[in-house]
Amino acid sequence: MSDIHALSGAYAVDAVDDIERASFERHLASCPTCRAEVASLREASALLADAATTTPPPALRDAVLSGITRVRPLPPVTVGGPVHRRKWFPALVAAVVLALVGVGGAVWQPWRDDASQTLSATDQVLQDPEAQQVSQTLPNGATATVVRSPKEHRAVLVTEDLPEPPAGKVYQLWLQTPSEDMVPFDLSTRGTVWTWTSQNFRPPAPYAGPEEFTPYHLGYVELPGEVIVETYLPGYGDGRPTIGDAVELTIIPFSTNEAGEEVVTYAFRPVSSTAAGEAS
Amino acid sequence: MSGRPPGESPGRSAHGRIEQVDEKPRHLEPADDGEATSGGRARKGDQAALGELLRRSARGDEQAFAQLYDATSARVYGLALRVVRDPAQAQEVTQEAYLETWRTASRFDPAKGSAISWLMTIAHRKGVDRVRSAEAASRRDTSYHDTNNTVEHDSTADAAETAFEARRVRTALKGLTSVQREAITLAYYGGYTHTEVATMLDLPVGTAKTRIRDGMIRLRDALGVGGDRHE
Repeated sequence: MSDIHALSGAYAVDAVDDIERASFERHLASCPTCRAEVASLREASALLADAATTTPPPALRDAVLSGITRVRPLPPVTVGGPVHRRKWFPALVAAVVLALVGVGGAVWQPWRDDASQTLSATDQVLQDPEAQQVSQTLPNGATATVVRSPKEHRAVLVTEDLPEPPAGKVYQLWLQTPSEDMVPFDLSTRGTVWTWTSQNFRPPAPYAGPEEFTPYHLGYVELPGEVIVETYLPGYGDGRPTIGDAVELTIIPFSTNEAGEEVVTYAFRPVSSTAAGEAS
Repeated sequence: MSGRPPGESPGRSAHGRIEQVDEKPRHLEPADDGEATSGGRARKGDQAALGELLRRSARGDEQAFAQLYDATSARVYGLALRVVRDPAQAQEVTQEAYLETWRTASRFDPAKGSAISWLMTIAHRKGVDRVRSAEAASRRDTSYHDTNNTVEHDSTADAAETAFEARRVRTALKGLTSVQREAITLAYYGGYTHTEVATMLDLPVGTAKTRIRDGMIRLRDALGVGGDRHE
């Protein structure tokens, strides 16, 4: 990037894509001038909202104030906080984590010098100034870049312009062992609720669920040290998920297709048995 | 910076914001449904008060957080509505923003930024993430793009724009060049990336980010904020 400082304005108003955001945040970690400028421009951007104020419905206040009772405020930053590490097989040359471009990550707080407590594992790799990077352009025009951070013992795969896989197919990640065998990378089947929301009205097309709509919970589940997946969160009944809940992979019915066959999908269900159970 | 007593520099708060001089009347409450404090806010002492509420929220003080909500919800929801446009999604974005604010309140450092900037940074990011992920999900949805490729003037914002601060912001925006203003409008209220803004405004690739930066610097200086923050 020729003049990275020039991104400060766009960054301050979130007018950057995820790749630019990660590079700029990497830059911010070592540029106090840009940090100060971003902070000052954010003061201005915060005031832009004054020109668009709209009173929300009263029910939202209740939802927010009851929501916070289920969320634990983060404790103040302490030095040397734990970083989640998973035991990798010693035979693997590099463990690769798929980065979901476009999924909202941890909020960058330029006011702290040591921001590692609030960065996701992906961000920590992407922002390691000593990380190595290898890029490849694929025949279909997509690019794939592996960013490898020996310090973090992790690597992140970032793809751009990767086309949607054909119907019924998914992308699968394979790793090469030192003996040059290829092994599939199995993601963990357990994780924690990273954030969640409820869907209270039938989503518009292309939603293909049953005509008769039942509200459901959905959210992002963090598979520790791996990825954050978007998923249904069944099994809460009349209760609500809480950020941090331990959940595990399950299969749930989704709909019935025209041939009368049941269509299923994946979901993550609370591991704890105290959540009120649903039929499935 | 935060150790300086308020009276030391005439007209400046502890965070360096230029106070409104006394001969200007206090702004009118925006006409709304009468909800007690959602629209009412005084610049003087505003930031110090919000900072205190955020500090207390970091310790789990739900009452303090409720007051923070009441003082800021119209701004957060209004912004969410401008960015995601759909009221139901705007409510969800607002809720996510406040939950994230509650969760990360201990990370707020008043020496390095105002509470409102902290909150609105979270809110804006949540809105932009939502609108971009919705776009990715309904890729090539023509109707969505059709309604979003013009620089609009939101009538909801016009109706709510009775507050003094809103007039102040609009006046400051008028001091920008039209390209700067359009670029910032598309970027901030539209949630577009600078490369998308360049395309939408027929600018050479890479120039939108300069327009945005120059415009934001002018805006910052016109509004008299963030000027004395040092690293």
